[in-house]
Amino acid sequence: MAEEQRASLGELKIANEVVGIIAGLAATEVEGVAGMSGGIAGGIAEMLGRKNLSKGVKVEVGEHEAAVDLFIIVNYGISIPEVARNIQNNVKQAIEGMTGLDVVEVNIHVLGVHFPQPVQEEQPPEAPPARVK
Amino acid sequence: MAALDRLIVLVVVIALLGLGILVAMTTLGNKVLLNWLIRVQTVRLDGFLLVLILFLLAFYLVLMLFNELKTDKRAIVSQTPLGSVRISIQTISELVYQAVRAIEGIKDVKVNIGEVEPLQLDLRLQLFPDYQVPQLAETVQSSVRDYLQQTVGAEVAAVNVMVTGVLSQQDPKVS
Repeated sequence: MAEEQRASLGELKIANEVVGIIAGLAATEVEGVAGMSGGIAGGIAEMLGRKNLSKGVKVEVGEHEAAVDLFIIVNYGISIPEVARNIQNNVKQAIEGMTGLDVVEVNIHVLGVHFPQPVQEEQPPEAPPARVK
Repeated sequence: MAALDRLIVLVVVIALLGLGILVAMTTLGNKVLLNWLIRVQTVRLDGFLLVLILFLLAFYLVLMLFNELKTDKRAIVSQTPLGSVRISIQTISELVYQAVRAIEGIKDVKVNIGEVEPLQLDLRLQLFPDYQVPQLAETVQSSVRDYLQQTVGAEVAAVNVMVTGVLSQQDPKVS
């Protein structure tokens, strides 16, 4: 039915950028994902103060289908295959739900690991008991 | 891309832009660049300083390029119904590094990945003294294997351990 409406009322086109942002947001909200990894251009754009929501995302959008490549940094201590599966499902659902495009591929590229900073400083350094008084 | 790299690229871009503008102005009859060049003939320091800076920038850019080319592009690839999952060599190295460092008795470790399919690791270890080396090596091998199986889901074919040094004394207990 959607197709018929589309045929009668005109075409619906969704820009790559939009699909990229949807994919980027859907990927970063998955637990275990530390962030997306942008390339050189992304780095320079970010330096100039432009927050790029589709950083680390490459999309190909056809008329009815979309394929996504995601470049991510994961948190230390998680199971990568599990997180990858969650990302794939989440991104697929988000894009299909919001755009109606059929997502045929969500490829994950894990480029690095994020290690939490050691939180040793939270324990106040205890002075050793004095041996002599 | 590291922050320093970005800064250097930005500086180079600005320098080139400035040079371009100066040359363009010279063709239009402006004498700033010409006057400066004539001045450099007498006041040498200005010229030397600029040349030094330009050479350093060029050198840094070449280094950056080589680093980029040297980056290991290999990855462990697995297929899922929804597409492929690629885990880069850098990720594997970082994970192994942390896993080994967490083992008691290890001072430092250098990770080298020989083969990807199947996964072969070469570890160069620096140990604290007073540990049984064969036992420690075995612990390292099994924990790396278990850890990678658990976090990456990859089978490890070999973990080759080479002990390159023993620390002569422990780190000071207080810093």
